[in-house]
Amino acid sequence: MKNLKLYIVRALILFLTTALIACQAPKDKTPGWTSDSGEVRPGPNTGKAVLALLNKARQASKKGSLSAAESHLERAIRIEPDNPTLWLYMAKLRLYAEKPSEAINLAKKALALSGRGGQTSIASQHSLQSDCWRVIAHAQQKMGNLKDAQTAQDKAKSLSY
Amino acid sequence: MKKKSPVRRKKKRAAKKSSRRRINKKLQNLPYMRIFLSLLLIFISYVIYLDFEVRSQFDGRKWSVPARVYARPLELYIGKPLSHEQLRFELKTAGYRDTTNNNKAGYYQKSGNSYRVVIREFDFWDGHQPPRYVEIKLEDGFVSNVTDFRDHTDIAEVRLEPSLMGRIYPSHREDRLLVKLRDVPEHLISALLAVEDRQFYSHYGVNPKAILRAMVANIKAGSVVQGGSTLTQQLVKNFFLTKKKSLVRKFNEAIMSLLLEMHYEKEEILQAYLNEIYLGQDKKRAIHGFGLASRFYFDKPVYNLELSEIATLVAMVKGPSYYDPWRHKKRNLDRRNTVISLMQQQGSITAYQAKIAKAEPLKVLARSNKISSSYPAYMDLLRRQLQQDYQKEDLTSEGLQIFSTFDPYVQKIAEQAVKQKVNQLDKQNNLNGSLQSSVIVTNTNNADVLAVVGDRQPTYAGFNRALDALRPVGSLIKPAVYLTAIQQKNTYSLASIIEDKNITLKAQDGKLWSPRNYSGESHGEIPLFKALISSYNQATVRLGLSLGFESIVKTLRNLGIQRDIPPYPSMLLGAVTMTPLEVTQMYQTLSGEGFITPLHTIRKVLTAKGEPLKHYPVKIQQTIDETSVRILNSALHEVTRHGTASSLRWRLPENLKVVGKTGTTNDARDSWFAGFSGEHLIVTWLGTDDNQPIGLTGSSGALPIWADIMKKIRTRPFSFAYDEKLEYHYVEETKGYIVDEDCSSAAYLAFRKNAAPKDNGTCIK
Repeated sequence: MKNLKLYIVRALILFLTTALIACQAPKDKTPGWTSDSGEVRPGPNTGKAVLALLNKARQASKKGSLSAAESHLERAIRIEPDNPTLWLYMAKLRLYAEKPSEAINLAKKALALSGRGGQTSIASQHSLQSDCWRVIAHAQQKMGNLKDAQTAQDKAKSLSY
Repeated sequence: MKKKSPVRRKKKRAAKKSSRRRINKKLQNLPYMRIFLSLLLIFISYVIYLDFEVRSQFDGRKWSVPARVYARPLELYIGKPLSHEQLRFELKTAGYRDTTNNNKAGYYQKSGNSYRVVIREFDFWDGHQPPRYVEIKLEDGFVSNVTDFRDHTDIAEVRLEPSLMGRIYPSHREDRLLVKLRDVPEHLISALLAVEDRQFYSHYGVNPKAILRAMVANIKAGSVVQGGSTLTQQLVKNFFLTKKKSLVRKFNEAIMSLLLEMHYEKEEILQAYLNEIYLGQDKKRAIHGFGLASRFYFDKPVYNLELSEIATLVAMVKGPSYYDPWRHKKRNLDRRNTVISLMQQQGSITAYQAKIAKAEPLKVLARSNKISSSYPAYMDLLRRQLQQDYQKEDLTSEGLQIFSTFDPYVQKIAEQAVKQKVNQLDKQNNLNGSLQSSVIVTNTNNADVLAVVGDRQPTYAGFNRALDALRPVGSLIKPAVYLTAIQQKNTYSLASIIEDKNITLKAQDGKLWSPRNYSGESHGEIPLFKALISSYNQATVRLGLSLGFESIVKTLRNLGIQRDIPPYPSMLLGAVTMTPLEVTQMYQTLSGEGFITPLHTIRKVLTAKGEPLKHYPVKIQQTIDETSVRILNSALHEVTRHGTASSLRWRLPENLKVVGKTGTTNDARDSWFAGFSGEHLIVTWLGTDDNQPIGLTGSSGALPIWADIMKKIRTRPFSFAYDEKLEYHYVEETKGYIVDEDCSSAAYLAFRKNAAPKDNGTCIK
C-alpha cells in the first residue's frame, strides 16, 4: 500500500515536471538572441504614426505574433520607406522567424539606407550599422557560414563604441 | 441534419437486392412481370442515383462565392500628402456619403478644411478596427491633424476601410453574399411564401394540386406556360438542372424535390433558396440571393430592408429581367403591390401596413450608383499572381478576401491621362484610332503595383498590353549598359571619356550594321554621362562592346530580367523585346537602389471568415551594390534636366525631382518612358498592335503621359543619397570637368569618394 502511494507521488512529480518543460516556449538557439532583441531605437525624425505602429509591432512580437508584427511594420515602411530602423526591425523579425537569408537582405537594405539622407549623426549611424551587422552575423551563423558570421561580427564590433 | 446515414442506406440496398433475387426465381415463368420488375429495378436504381446526386451536392454545397478583391486602405496620419480632391474621391470610392448632420458610420461632413468621417468598422488582416469618429484637417495638400471628434484626442494613425475593387468570378459569373435564415426579416419569408409557395411548410417537396392546375393550363395552351413549382422544386431546378423545360426534367425535378425534403429540414431548404435564387444582372455579373440583391438594389444589409423594399425584391423572383425596377419601373411597382396584397391576404401584415407600403415609391438606388468600376488590366495581373498559389475553383467559389496593393486614385489619374493624351496624339499623327497605350505605376519602395492600364480604353477587357505586348525596348536598355560600366569602379566614372563615332559591325544575319545617332551626327569624345543623357547610339555600342555582352546580360539579370537576351550588338540599342511589366521590374531595381523586389499586387489573403490564409511578406534581395545604382540614378536624373527628357523641367513643378529614360524604336514604332520619383515608378508605352510607325519618340509620346500622371499623383520627389561612399559635383558636358554650382548647364552627378574628375573647367553657357 505504502509502495503504491510512493509510486503515485513519483508519477505525479514526473508528470508535472514534463508538463512544465513542455509548456515552456521553444528557445532560440542563437546565443544572446531573445525576442527582446526585437527592440529597436527609432531615430529622432520618426513620425508619430510610425512610432504608434512600431509600438503595435512591439506588442505583437512580445505576444509571439510575428506575422501581426510584420504587418504593422509593413505599414510603417509604407509611411517612412527610407527609415533604416524599420528595415532593421523587419530583419530582426525574420531572423527570429528562422528566415536567416531574408534577414540578411533586409539588414543590407537597412545598411544601404543608414545615412542616406545625411541628417543623422555619424555616431547614431554607426550604432545602427553595427546593429545591422550583428543581425547579419547571427543570420550567417544560423546558416552555418561561420567565416561570414565572423566577418560581420568584426564589422559590428568596429562600428560600436 | 440528415435523416439517414449512408451505412443504413447501403444495408437496405443489399437487403433489397437479395429479396429481389428470390422473387425473380419464383416468377421465372411470368414474362410481363419480369419486364415490369426490370423497369422497376431501373427506376429504383435511377432514384438511388438521384438521391446520391441530391445529397452529395446539397451536403457538400460549396456556395459559389467569388473572391472579393479590396483596394489598399487609405492611411491617414499627420504629414500624409492628401488633397481635398483625393480625399473626396477616396470617400466616394469607399461608399461614404456626404451629409449635413449624421454621425452614422459611412457618412462624412465637410466644413472648411476639415472632414468629419465616421469610419465603418472593418476586420483588417492585422486586427479589427472598430467604428472611428475621425476629424481630418487638410492644409496645403497635407493632412495637418487627425483627431477623434467625440473625445478630441489625437489619433496617430487610422485607416479608411478599403473599397471593394473587384471580384473573381467563375465562368458563369455568379455573385452572391451569403445570408443566414435568422438574419432575414420575417416579412421577406412571409412575402416569399405568400407569392411563391403557400403550402411550403406542409407539402413534401411537390404540390400535386399546383402541378395539376399547371398541367391543365399547359395542355390547354399546347406548351409549357405555367409552373406549379414549390420553392423546393425551384431550388432543385437552380441547383441541379439545366434551364431547359422538358418533361424529363420536370420528372427529375419532382423526384429530386421529394428526396431533398426527405433528407433535409424545411429551414435548410429555405436558407438555400434565399441564397440561390437569381435576382438580376449587372452587365456580365449575375446577382444571386437576397443578400447581394439587397446590397445591389438598395445598398443595405438584408436585415435592414423595409416592407416595400422586400416586396420589390420578391416581385422580381418571377422574372428579374421582366420586373427590373430600373428598366420597368411601372411593371415592378404593380407586381410589388400585388405582393403586398398577397401578404395582407395571408394575414402576415395588416391592411394599414399594406396601405402605407403601397403608397411608397420604388426605393431602388439611382442607377448610376450601381455601375461598378472595373479595372480589367489590374485584375488580370492580380489573377495571374493569385493563380501561382491558388486553384481557379478556390478563387471563384470560396469567398476569399484578397487585400491588394491597388490604389484607386492613382489608377484614376493614369486612366484619365491615357484617355486624353492618346486621343490627342492619335489625331495629331493621323493614326485613325490605332494608337495604343499601356501604363504601370508602382511604389518604388516596396514594389506594390498601384495601377495598370492595358488599353487606350482602360475599362475594356481585351488584350492587356501592360502584361502581354512584347515590344522592342529601344534606349530603355541603355541604363543597363552604363550601369555595367559604373560597376567597374576602377575603370569608369560618369565623367570618363568615351567615343561617339561611326562604327560598323557584323549583325546576326551576317550583314554589316552601322548604327547611327538619332540626330544623324556623331559627337566624338564625350563624357560617359553625356552619352547616356542624350542617348547617343554610337557611343553606347562602342561602350557595350568594350564591356562585353556577357557582363551586360548579367547586369540585366541582376536588374530582374529573366528573359533570354540574344548576344548581338543590336541588343545594346534595345533590339530586345520585353513587356511593359518586365521593363517596370527592371526600373524597379534601379529605384530600389540595387535591391530586387518582385512586383506584386497582393498583400494578404484571408478566408471568407477572416482567417489568414497567406501573407505575402516583403521580399528583397540585393543584386547590385547600391553605390553604383545611386551613381547611375544621378545621371538618369540629368536625363530629366539636360537630356532627352528635359521637357520635364517645365512639365513638372520645379521641386519635383525625378529620374527617367526615354525609349524610341526603329522608325518610331514604339514610344517609351520609364522613370521614378522618390515614391512612384511609372512606365508608359505607346504603339500600335500591328507595329506601325507612330511618328512619336519617347519624349514626344510616352513622356507627356508619364509627366501628366506624375504631376497629378501626390508623390515624394527623388532624393540624392548622401552617404559616406559618395561625393557630388557639378560637371560640364564636353570634357567632364568640374565647374561651379551656379553653372546652369552643368550636370549634378555622383562619384565614388575620391574618384571625381580632378580637372576644373569653365561653364559653358
